[in-house]
Amino acid sequence: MNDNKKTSVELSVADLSSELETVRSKLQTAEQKIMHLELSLLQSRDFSIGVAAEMGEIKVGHFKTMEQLKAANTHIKNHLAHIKRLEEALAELHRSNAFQRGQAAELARVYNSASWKIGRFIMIPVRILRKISS
Amino acid sequence: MPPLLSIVTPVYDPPRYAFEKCIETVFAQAFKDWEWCLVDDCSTAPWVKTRLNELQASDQRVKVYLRSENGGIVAASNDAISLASGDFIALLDNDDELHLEALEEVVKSIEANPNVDYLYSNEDKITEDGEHFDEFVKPDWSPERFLAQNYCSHLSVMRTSLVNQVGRFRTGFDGAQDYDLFLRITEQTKNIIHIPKVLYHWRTVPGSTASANNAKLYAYTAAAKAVDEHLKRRRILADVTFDPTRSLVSVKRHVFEQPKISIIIPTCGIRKSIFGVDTCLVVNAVESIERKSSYTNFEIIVVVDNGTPQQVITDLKAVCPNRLKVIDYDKPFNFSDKCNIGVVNSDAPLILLLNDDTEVISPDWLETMVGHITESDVAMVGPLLLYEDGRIQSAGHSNTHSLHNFCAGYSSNDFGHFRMLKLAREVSGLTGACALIKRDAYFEVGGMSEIFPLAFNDCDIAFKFLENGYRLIWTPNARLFHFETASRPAHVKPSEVKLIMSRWGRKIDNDDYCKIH
Repeated sequence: MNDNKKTSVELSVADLSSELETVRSKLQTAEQKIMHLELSLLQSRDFSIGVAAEMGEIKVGHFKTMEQLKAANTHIKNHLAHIKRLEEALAELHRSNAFQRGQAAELARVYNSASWKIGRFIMIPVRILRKISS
Repeated sequence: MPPLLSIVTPVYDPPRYAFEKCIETVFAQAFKDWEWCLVDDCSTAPWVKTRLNELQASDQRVKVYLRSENGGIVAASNDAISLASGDFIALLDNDDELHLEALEEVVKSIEANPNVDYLYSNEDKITEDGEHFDEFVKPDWSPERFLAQNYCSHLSVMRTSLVNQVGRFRTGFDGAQDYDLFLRITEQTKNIIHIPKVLYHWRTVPGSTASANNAKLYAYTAAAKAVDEHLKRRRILADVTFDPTRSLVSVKRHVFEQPKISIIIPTCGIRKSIFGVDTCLVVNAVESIERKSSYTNFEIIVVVDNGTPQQVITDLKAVCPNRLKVIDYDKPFNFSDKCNIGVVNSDAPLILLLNDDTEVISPDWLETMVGHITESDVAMVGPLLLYEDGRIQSAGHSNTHSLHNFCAGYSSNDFGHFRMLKLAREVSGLTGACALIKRDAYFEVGGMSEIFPLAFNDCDIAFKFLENGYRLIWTPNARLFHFETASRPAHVKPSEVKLIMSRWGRKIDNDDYCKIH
C-alpha cells in the first residue's frame, strides 16, 4: 500500500518536474520573444523619430532654399531694373551718337563747300598778319 | 504699442564718476519709452541727493524717492519697485552702465515673445577707466547651472506683475537678493529668454562683487541660503553649501532609495597598456565598479562579441561573482545594437551605458548621477571623463562649430569659461562612453540608433531626448577615467558625418547651452 503511494507520489513529482521544465522553456521562449519585440520597438521608434528628424532637416533646408530663392528673386529684380537703366542709357547714347554723326556730316559738308573755301582764301592775309603780330 | 520699461536703481554713495557714467548711458538709450526709479538709501555724500533732485527736475521720466533712513539694498530696491509703473522692471546698479541699445534689444525680444516673463542678457565688466573685459557668454535658460551660480545676473528684466506676485526682494538675502528673486521668479514661469548680446557693463570698483570673488563673502552665504530655500520649495532634498574654492554654490542631492541600475558594457575583451600595465579593459572597468562604488543596487550586463577569450569571462565572473550577466553578441560590430541588446536584457529603471575602457574614480559617481536623474524632465546624465594622464576627455558635448567633446585636452584643474567645468549644467549632448539614462526615456526615443554603429550614436540619442523636451545634465562631481584611444581610433568617416547632418544638421553650431568653442 505504502509502496504504491510512494510510486504515485514519485510519478506526480516526475510529472511536475517535467511540466516545470516545459513551463520554464516556454517562459524562456516568451522572454526571448519579448526581447525581440522590445528590440523591434526600439528600432521602429528610432526609425520614426529619425524620419521625423530628417523631415525637420528637409523643412529647414526648404526654408533656407526659399529664403535664398527670395533673395535671388530680389537680386534678379534689381539686376533687371539695372539692365533696363543700362538699356535706356544705351538708347540715349545711340540717340546722342546719331545726333553727333549728323552734326559731323553737316560740319564736313560746310568744310567742303565752295563758300567756305573762298572765305578761307580771302582770310589768308589776315591769318599771316595775326601770326606775325603774335 | 511697445511696453514701458521701468529701470530700478537703489542708490547709496556711488563713486561720482561712475554714477555720472550710469546716468549718461540711461539717457543715451536708443529706446526712449522708459522710466527710471531711483531710491536714495540715505547716502552720506551730500551731492547724491542734489544730483538726484536735479535729475528728477530735468526729465519727467525720472522718479526719485529719498529714504529718511538707511534700510539696506533690499528695502531701497523694494521702494524703487513701488515707484515703477512699467510693464517690465530692469535692474541697474548705481555704478554700472547699460549698453546704448540695451533697452531696445529688450523691447525687441518682448515684442517677438509677448508671453515672456524674464529676460537676461550677456554682460561684461568695465574698469574705472572704462576698459571692457571678461565677457560672459551665457547659455540659454539652464536651471541646473542656475543652482550653482547666478549666471543670469545682469541685465535682468522681469515682468512687474510677477515681481509683485512673488513678493519682490526679501530681507535676509543681502548681497544675493537678486539671486533669491530670480529663483522665485523662475519657479513661477518657464517663459525665460536669453538675449545673447552684451547689454550690461558691470563696473569693477574696489569692494564691488565684480572686482573680486571674495569681496563679498556674505553674498555667497546668502546665495547658498537662497538656493537651499528654492530647493525646499521644489521639495528637492539636498545639501547646499557654498564652495569657496570654486566660488560656486554646491548642491548635493540626497538619494534615499537606490533605484536599480543596469550597467551595460559592450566589449570584445581586448587588452591594452593602462598606467604601464597590460590590462584587460573590461575586467579593469568591472573591477573598479565593484571595488570603488558606494552605490550597491546595480547589475552589470556585459555584451560580448563572438571571439572574446573565455579567460575574460572567467575573470569577469571572478571580480563580479554575484551581479554579472553575460550576453553573447554574434553579429558584426554595432555599438548601438549591442547597447540595445543589453537594455532589453535588463529590467532596471535606470540604465548606465559604459565603455569597457573606463575606470571609476569617485566612489559616489552613481549617487551623484542618480541625484540628477530623479528630476522628471532629466533623461540622461554624464560624468567628467579624464584621459589616462588626468586631462579632460569629455565635459559633455558641445555643438558649437562642430560636434565635439567640450574642453577635451584641458587640465582637470581648469575652471573653464565662468567656472563651467566646475558646475553641473545642462548640455546638448553627452558621450555614450558613460551615460546614465532613464529606461522609459530610452524606450520613448527608440534607444541607440543602429544606423550609427560606431560614431555619433550618443549625439543622436541626445538630440532625440532634447527633441522630446528632456534635459541632459553633465556633472563634474562624478569622475571616471576614459582611456579613449586605447579601445578604438578616434576618427570619423565622412559618411557618418553626412548621416548625422541629414538628421540633425540644424542643431550643429546651434548649441543652447555651450555658446563658446
